[in-house]
Amino acid sequence: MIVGFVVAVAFPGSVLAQQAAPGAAATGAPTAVARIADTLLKEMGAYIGSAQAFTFHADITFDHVLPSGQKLQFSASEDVALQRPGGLRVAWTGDLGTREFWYDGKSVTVYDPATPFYATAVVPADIDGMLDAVVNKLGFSPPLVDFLYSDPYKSVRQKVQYGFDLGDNAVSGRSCRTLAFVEKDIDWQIWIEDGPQITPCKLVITYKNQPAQPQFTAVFSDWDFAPRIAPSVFTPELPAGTEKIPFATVAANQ
Amino acid sequence: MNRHLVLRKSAITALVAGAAVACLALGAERAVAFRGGFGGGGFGGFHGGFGGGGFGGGFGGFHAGDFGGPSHWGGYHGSAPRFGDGGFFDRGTDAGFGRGGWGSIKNAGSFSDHADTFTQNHPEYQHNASQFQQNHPEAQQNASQYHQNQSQYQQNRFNEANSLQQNRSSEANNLQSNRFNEANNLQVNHTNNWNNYTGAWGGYYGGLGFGAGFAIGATFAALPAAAVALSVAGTPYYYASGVYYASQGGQYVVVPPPAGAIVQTPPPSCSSVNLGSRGIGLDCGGAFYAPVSGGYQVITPPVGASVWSLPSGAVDHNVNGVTYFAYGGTWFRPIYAGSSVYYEVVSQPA
Repeated sequence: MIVGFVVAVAFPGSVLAQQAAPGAAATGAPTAVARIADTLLKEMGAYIGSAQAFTFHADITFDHVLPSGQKLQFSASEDVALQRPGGLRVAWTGDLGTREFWYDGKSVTVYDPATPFYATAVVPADIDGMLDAVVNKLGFSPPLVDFLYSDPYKSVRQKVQYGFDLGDNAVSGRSCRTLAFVEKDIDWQIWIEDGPQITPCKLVITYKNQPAQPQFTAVFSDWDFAPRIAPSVFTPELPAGTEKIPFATVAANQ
Repeated sequence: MNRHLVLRKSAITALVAGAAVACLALGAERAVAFRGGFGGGGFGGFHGGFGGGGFGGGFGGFHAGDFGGPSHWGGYHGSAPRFGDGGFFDRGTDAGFGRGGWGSIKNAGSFSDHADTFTQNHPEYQHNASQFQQNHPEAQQNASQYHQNQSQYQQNRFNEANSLQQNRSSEANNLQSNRFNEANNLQVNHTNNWNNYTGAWGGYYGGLGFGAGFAIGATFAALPAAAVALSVAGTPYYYASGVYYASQGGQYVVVPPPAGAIVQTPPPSCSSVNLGSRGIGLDCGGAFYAPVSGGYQVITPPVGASVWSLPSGAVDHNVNGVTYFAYGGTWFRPIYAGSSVYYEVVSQPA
């Protein structure tokens, strides 16, 4: 599939031709990533990962696939507030519902306001450990979680097989550099701001092995690396009478 | 807690008020028709359930064309994501919020793993197109009918929203006891035990699809043309589009899905459900079907199975401070799977 992709798509062109090792896709070994793509990812990762606190907003569209293969697109907006070492707040509001997520350095809480129920789980005391625990044990991760790790470069770079540069493109009036990456399970594109703040402008993930290849797209805005976040932001705010129910663990889920 | 939930449902109800009014009007007609065929003490039970399990689902089936197509997606948007997606939406119940690592580069492989599980939970993906169509005859229909089905799903969301709200009244409980008595009366001459299994069904097919909303106990002079004869433990039944009928005094009475019945074609709209050792089955509005050779068999919902939406007409119970939902003699416990609430079949709490 990957080989087919490379052959079929013309625009990787010279970058790939020069750097892709023959047969690399078949072995699954880490392969060719254009230097500028790698460098930019690294700079972005260092910039975000070194911050002690930040907030951002993302406007998101994502696909649902009907069994017939028809794709339906829905929208959501996500607001993130992060304070290292142990504070994260994610608010998700979209066509298909709202989710509230809190991490206070001890436990995570998830609440769907369409229900009178919430769930809480004890997790590691650092954001990286918490994020790993949530996806591995609870079976989900707040969307765009890649940028919340202390080493975002590592988060996004690990499984990349090919990467190349698509040049400068504007996103919502901002000048951004577009990079494209190929992995086993997904293809993804990222737009990184060409400015003093080396932040993502936009992200597109294509789940190419899923039926109808659904996409997840986020357009970032309002990056703030000097936010003044009230500590209470990381404390669950639940309506009176909301009932705590258990989390299903991934193992129990299978 | 109840207050919170009621308030929320009120908002949803307001949002879909236009459709609801239309549906109520249709429902009233239907109720009168049923009254003629059923009569007697049973009517109180039927009326009690009106707006609950019976509200709209079946009427949507009868009048699917009345509820339009895409224009009602507006209502869908306003509805809570957990309200029955009928198994037709990939991740339809997680609001897009990161199930299995969705929306993360790092966790994309994890998402794929979960996607495999998702496929297992949606056996339609494992079939080829022709098999899929066999199992989903609605997919063979033309586009306009497909839209009708879409509106049916839409309708189901309205129904469930309304029915959950309705559950807050004690009428639902009254309804159930009425139903139970009626079912027993109707089944005096029958040797099977379906009324034991389904005594708390609330008198309706609460769930999804065209079969939904048929009042248990409603009588018809003739069977649908597509009806198929079945025999369950020596008792004859007839099955058409998810609805079971028993012969009664020269007429046909709608009965709950009899445990043990095997049908070639499951009800029109079901969600997949993991039945453990019995494989991936179907949850058709609270009636559980296990795959067997020759089709699907009606089974008692096994403890540990989980569904994304409650059957319409499920009633909440607070047992020692813990909320459960009961329907059809089956007890469900809400649980967060990832970032979304779903419902796990449990033993009846002591």
